[in-house]
Amino acid sequence: MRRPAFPRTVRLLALLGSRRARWYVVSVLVLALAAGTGFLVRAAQLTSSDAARNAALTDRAATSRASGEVGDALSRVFSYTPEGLARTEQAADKLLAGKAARQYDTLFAQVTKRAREQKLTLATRVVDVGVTRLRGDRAELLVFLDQTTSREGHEPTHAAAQLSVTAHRDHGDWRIVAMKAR
Amino acid sequence: MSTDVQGRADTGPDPAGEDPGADGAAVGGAVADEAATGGSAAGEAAADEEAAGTPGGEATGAPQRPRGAAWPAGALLVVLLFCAVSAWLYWSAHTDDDLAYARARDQALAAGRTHLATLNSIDAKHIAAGLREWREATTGPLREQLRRDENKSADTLEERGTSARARVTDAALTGLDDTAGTAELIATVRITTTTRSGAPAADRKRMAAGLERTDDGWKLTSLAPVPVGEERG
Repeated sequence: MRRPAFPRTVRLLALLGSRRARWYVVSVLVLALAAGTGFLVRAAQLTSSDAARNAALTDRAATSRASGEVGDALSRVFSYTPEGLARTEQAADKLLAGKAARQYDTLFAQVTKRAREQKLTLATRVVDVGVTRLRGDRAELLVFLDQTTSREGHEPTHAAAQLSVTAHRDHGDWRIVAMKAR
Repeated sequence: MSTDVQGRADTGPDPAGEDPGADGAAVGGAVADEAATGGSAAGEAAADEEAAGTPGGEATGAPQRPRGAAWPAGALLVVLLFCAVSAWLYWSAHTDDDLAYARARDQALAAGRTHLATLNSIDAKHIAAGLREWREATTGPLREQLRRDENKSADTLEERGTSARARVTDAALTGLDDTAGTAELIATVRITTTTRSGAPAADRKRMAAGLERTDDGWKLTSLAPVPVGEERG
């Protein structure tokens, strides 16, 4: 198999040995090197781009888990009854962290007093959740909430709330670390 | 071709002094070559020498081979291989479904944000232009509706003389079908309205929109505020 192919190889090599051919070879080398580098850079850009690293919607399971847990957390920490204030606070301890936890503590101190005095009940329901970014243990979401405040002897009032939420995954569970009203 | 390269690779690392015969041939070859080309760069000559050493590896019985040709062949092969591999890497990244989906997601979101701001803005001084921009931001049923209502909207806006400037404060896709080219989006919008008398007022809205991919990028097919106390599908 090798022998019949050999004379042809020799002729090819002879061709390559000539000076003019060498220029062609060098040009092809340079071109191929440039093209190869270009392809490689473009491929790296594609695979390591911001879009590629953001798993929001591309990883359906992770996206729905993050939006489910964050939505659940919000409806729990923003729902209370005059008798169940301690339960809400316990839930907040578990579901909030960092700046969000500090903000919430300040807010909740004011709420506790009013809720007891005026017999307030707050119910929060998640209307819609969208994940904007999901990268490793960090997620950013936009959440639409409906809040119903009931006061004893009064008609309940409804209000809309929109939050941009940053969540962090701790030991597999999503915790809210920052919230911003929109 | 590949067997030659193999032979070169086998003999390449050998120190030049090990086979005096082959070495002599190599030097002779280099000199001859140089004479033929009228003197070449030192690097090239050195490369020739290395390449010319090749026949020494399989000299027995093999026909005489021209000297100084194996290195370009080898380099060519290596570089073309490199080019092919990186082209393949690029192609697989370019056609990767997940990456394409991520790109579509970001494009849809970016377009949605822009169009949402457009549809919530109007300049009282340029109502016709504003309505044209509205139409250009939409497609399908929403575009039809805007076209139907254009004259009426123009009259109403003219009469009111209110300008509005909207800014999307946050937006997220809630769904994306890359093959069908449709997406759903939710967004919060901050609208600053200025009446003829001058006092600006700010308003916040939350909205849900539908998007569809057209030849001209993603466009809105529906847009509605998300009311309080209503279950959404």
